[in-house]
Amino acid sequence: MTEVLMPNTLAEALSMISKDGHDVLILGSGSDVIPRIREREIVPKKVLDLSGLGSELNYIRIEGNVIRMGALVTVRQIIDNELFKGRLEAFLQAGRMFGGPQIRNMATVGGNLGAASSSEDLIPIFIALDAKVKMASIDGDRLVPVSKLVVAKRQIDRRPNEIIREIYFEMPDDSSWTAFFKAGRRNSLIIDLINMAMYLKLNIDGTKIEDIRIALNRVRGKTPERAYKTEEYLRGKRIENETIARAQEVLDSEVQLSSDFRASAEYRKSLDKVILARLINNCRDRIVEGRRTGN
Amino acid sequence: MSEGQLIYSAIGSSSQRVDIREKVDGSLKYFTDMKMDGMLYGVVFRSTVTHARIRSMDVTKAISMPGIRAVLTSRDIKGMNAYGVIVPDAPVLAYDKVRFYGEPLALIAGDTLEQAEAAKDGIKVDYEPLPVIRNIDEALKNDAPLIHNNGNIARSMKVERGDLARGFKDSYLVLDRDYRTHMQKHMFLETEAGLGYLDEKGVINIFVSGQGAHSYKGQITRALEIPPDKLRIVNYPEGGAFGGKDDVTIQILLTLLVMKTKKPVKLVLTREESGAGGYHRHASLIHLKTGVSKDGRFMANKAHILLDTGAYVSFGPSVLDTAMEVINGKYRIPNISVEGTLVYTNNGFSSAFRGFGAPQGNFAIENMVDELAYELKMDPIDFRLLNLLQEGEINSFGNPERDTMGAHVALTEAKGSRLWKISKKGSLPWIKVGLGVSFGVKGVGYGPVKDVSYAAVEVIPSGLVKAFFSNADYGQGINTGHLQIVAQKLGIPFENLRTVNADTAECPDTGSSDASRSTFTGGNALINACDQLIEVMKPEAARMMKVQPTEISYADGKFTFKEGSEVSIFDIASFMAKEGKGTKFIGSFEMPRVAKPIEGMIEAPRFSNAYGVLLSLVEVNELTGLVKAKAFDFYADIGKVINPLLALSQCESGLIQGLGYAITEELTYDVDGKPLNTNYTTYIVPSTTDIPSIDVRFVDAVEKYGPYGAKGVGEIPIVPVASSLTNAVHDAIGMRFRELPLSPPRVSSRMQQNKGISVLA
Ligand SMILES: Cc1cc2nc3c(=O)[nH]c(=O)nc-3n(C[C@H](O)[C@H](O)[C@H](O)COP(=O)(O)OP(=O)(O)OC[C@H]3O[C@@H](n4cnc5c(N)ncnc54)[C@H](O)[C@@H]3O)c2cc1C
Repeated sequence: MTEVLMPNTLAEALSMISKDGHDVLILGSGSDVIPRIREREIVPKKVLDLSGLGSELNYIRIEGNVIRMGALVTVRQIIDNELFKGRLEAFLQAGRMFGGPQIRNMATVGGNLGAASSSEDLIPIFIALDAKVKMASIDGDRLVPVSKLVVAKRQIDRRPNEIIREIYFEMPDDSSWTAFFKAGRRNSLIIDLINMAMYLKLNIDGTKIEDIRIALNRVRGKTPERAYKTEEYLRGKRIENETIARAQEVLDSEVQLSSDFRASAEYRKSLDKVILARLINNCRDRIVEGRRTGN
Repeated sequence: MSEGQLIYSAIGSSSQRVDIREKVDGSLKYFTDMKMDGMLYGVVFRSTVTHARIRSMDVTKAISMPGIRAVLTSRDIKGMNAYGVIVPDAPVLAYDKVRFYGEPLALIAGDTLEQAEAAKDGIKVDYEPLPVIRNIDEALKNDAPLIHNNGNIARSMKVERGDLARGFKDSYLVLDRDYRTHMQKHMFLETEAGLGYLDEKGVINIFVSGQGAHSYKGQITRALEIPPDKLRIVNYPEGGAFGGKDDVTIQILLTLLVMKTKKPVKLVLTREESGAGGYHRHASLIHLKTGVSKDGRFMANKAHILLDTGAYVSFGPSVLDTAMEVINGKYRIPNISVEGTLVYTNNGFSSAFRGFGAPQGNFAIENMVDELAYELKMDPIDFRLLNLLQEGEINSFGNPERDTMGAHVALTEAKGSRLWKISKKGSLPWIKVGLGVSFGVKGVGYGPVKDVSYAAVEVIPSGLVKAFFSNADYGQGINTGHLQIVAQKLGIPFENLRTVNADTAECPDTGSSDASRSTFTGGNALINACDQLIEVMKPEAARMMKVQPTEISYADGKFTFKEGSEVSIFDIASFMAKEGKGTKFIGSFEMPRVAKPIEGMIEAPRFSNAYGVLLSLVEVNELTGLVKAKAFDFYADIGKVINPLLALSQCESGLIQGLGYAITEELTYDVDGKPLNTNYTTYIVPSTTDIPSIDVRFVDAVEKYGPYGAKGVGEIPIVPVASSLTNAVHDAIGMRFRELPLSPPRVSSRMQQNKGISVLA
């Protein structure tokens, strides 16, 4: 029999896992974990249900230019929040295609970070935003850059006595934009063939890429990572067809994709290139448009 | 019709489904939610290898595990331990050999599902692996290992007419093409499931989601040697089927569990089990060589259709015959040769699937037709109209054509589609827009085999008429359609009618719900039962009214002598009941057959056909290879439409299932013959957000022999979808896809090969 722990405060939750945390499976909304339990992929001894911690872990707020999200924020809440309607468009682009309506209503940010199965859509966006994850334990908080969070497929840098409490990042300034694209065989409820998130900042006169961060769910094997070489190549460049074509080549050499029954590595690579071009242009167009209209 | 002046006109109205309430309010339960006192849970122990000889199997440990009430193997089967609707070549429980991954080897009954599942670990099988045959080409190699002792060819057929060599010689243009289609899963929402129990009279009652009742019963009694009066099969009215529950699924396994444990047993396959052990659509390889004259007339058509039937035959022969039937379209082709080969492989188990081989045959011929029209610079619809057989002409299989009028109308009406006027300019530079046409044919009924259907109506004195038939209602709405026919025939309001559906204890054998035949055959049998009712009740009514039978007439549920002097059938029923006379009347109908059958063919040619013309508007993304259907305009001849809403639902669902077949769906096996995508996460059916705008028009057509002029609608919508989409893709990007599905990787790689398309966005 599985024991289910149902704390009402974070402090209570943290004390419940302070010792035998190894044996405890943390449950957000369960949209990732319940199907795996059903498949007997995991057989938990104890389950720690976070649903009672809404008052402490469910918030989206902006402090100065830092946006903070509690681990229990759902995808639906993100889509509905005005904060994400502009420069953080990546979240909307991901959110609209995230599962179906039921999944969007349930799926939590903490769960997305915790699942780390290589097909999460929010992780690359957080990586592109250089976000940081705040882990809570009875010993206090610990910060983990989200780019370092996933250590292997289905394995994150979390100690057994920790709970993901918050993720935060800086709001991009008015020379920047974020974008996301996921390619799949149908429009909803799809595990992507490939996904990519981008943060792009233009220089003052809008002619060159001042800064760029590109994150993919697959760079080498199955952990989400940044395409550092491609970023490096693009930094300081003008956005022109040749630049993009060259960047596509860099990306092509940088990623090592694998084939599976969903698609071949070659097809994934060709998609990567298309998406790269599309996201760069998407970000650039929106920044330029924003400057023109004063947004 | 004598009872012409009805106050109530049932045919052609969208009567509400008779079973809508329980389905909407949730009172109709899924098998997973059902429970009986003392009920055991059955699970199936299946092979985890694809092709192997069984050296030994040891179940002793499983039997002693907690909560286990029975572990059954082939040794527990007294009968022939084999099933298969046409050839019983599949063992109920395998004993000497396994031929596909997921083949049933043993059954376990436990007090809980968890215990039954756990006991699977207590079964040990020692296999001697055999090489795996993964496709048609491998199966036909000279040195291919044999799946069955009689070789890897399960059936060969050939039909010839005219002088093929001459036809090609006289042709202006001859195209020689290969087409390949893949395996499609039915993906019904409820998997193969059932619940059975032994009643006080010693009868085993089996409630199961399926497509009929009597044919299962026949197969069960044969496989297990049960006297027919000790077995009752009842269709449970939900689950979906699409052909995937046409042949026996779990019926024999469940019966065996009940028989041996003498307890109620529930057996519900998991999605993954259904994926590996259930049926799917045959993959095909079709060689097609077609010649036309300069003015666009067919001269010759040579086809070789090879179908992958998987490890066993099931409906394979019928599917092959149907693919062969449609490979000449309904075109005037004087010289033909059509060859069919049904091939065993280790790819699971192919069987019936909506369209029965017609989608495969249609994919080949309608791609070919489009290409020919394009090469001849002819309008694709005019080209089809020019070649479409007229009624009375002798068709490719040597019979006078009798029902292509509706097809002519459908093609002509399609010329006026809204889609011809839509701009082909994409919303972005790399989005290409195209419009494609396809013309589909699907025969109604079983073809040349004798098919007699029985159905009954019973008058209950309290004011009800019950209709009894065995065409299973698995969601398509046949209960409602059949009652509309009875309502029309007897002139009785819908509220006074009830159905008893597919229960071998109460219903005569109307055959199964398959081959688009239920309305045609069951509807006619019910009309005949109503005729019997009127005929038998008339003299009784005359007796009650003390007049001559010739002086009274029947209309609207009563016999009338003259104004004000009448008796209702309910009064007559109670009058008859008092005299101990029965008021249940059995009617029958024999499906008409073509005058000249083809020797050896069991499913084709058919007497009556449904037709569908589909126009598809697509967008092809040149960067990602994603093909999106934007709009479907479907013109169908299904005869008289009994219930427009239900007919529309059939069309929409068929078109959507065809969309999945053409683009997103593909059952795949790894090199060892293990299925890779057996659930909804990995097997991609279209979601609501992928559905194009759909417009369906039913042409005005009447089938002389159909009930009130109806034919059938279940299958025709799926038939032309794939070819219509590939033709639309050709229109958009100038490339012909002769292999399905139109998956993004396939489309993308072809585009990059052919055009070296730049990936700049
Ligand atoms: C039909 C369907 C469609 C889906 N579509 C998408 C999609 O489009 N995109 C996508 O990215 N994902 C998708 N998913 C996956 C899943 O919904 C998401 O990953 C979701 O964000 C998981 O959140 P959850 O709260 O349900 O996580 P859970 O299932 O509750 O947990 C997931 C993992 O995270 C851990 N965890 C949860 N919360 C915490 C916490 N606060 N601290 C520490 N560990 C924690 C759990 O222990 C577990 O290991 C889909 C799932 C389904 C079933």
